[in-house]
Amino acid sequence: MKGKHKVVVKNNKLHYEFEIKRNITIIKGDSATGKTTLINMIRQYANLGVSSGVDVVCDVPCRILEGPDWQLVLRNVSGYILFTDEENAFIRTEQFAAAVRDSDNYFVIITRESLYNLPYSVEEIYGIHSSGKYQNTKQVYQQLYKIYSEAEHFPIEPKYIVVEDSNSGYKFFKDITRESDIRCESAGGKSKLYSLLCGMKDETCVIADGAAIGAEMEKLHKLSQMYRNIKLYLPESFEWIILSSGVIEGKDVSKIECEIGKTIRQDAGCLFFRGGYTEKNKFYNFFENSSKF
Amino acid sequence: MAFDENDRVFNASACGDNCSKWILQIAKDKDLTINLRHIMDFGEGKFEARVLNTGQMVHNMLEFLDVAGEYV
Repeated sequence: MKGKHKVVVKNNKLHYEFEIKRNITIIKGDSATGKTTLINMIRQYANLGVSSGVDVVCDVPCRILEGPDWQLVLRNVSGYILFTDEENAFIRTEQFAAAVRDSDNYFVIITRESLYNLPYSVEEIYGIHSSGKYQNTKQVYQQLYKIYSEAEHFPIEPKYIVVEDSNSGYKFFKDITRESDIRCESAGGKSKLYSLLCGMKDETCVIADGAAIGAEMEKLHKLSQMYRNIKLYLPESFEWIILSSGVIEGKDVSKIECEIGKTIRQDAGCLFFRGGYTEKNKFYNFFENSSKF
Repeated sequence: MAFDENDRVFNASACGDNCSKWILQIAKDKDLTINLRHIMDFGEGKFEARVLNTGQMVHNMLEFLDVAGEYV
């Protein structure tokens, strides 16, 4: 499944409208903001149709994924947007994570927990609030907002750069900082970033793939708020930095960059290019062997 | 949570951060044990809590974050 999908869920009292762009979207936030109500409305529509009083408008089918038969459901649906929440214990399991990776559906998960088994983007973590669009009417307009949307102030002058991975991205930044007094270190994985940063006194810049750092964001964000010397730089991925830098020529590259959602399935860790399937390692080999790079 | 007399452990992650002030308020009158699956924001003030995973006492969000981040 590719591309963006607008979803409208409404009845005579509430109106939810949002866009789902990737295979995993997280909705979290305070209680009584309407997260559970959203799930309930979609369930009512799925069970009763129009007689539920709920209207669900989307170019792909939407349904709830819940209960002990979730695996059976997943095996038999394709091209759906599936909504589930933290009352389903399976969302924390490796079985669910594997099913999501292999699935041709989009998933909207309502949870306050960080789901470390799932690679979701920092850009696709939302809260819900009433926007007041239909103020003074009987219908309340519920809107999704990005939780991690604040921009960092540039420029920053780090003394220390911590890179999430230990592969090409780390080698790249290590080379850049080689002739400066900036220390560059690999965390050896996103799960190790937090413990590495605790108690950090130097001006530090953390570089990690935004496309898959979602589960770590709660604590990294709080860390950067508490320890003002820690800044987070979360580009989509290292490959994205290369693609958008202009060092790779070709109209296909610029077209991919512009139409990323339509061209590439938004699975963190794998890139599917038009015309074929390219694993991340093969992507790196392409650049290492390319004379233009 | 406020009226429980059986020392139950409550899943405070089901309540959300907007309930943190009420948890601190209830804890002024009685000891309260909660389970958290996320880093609850207890605000900028001081409080006293023992993180049972490590036995450490924490008194503010900075101390709490240093410990909680290892577990949630």
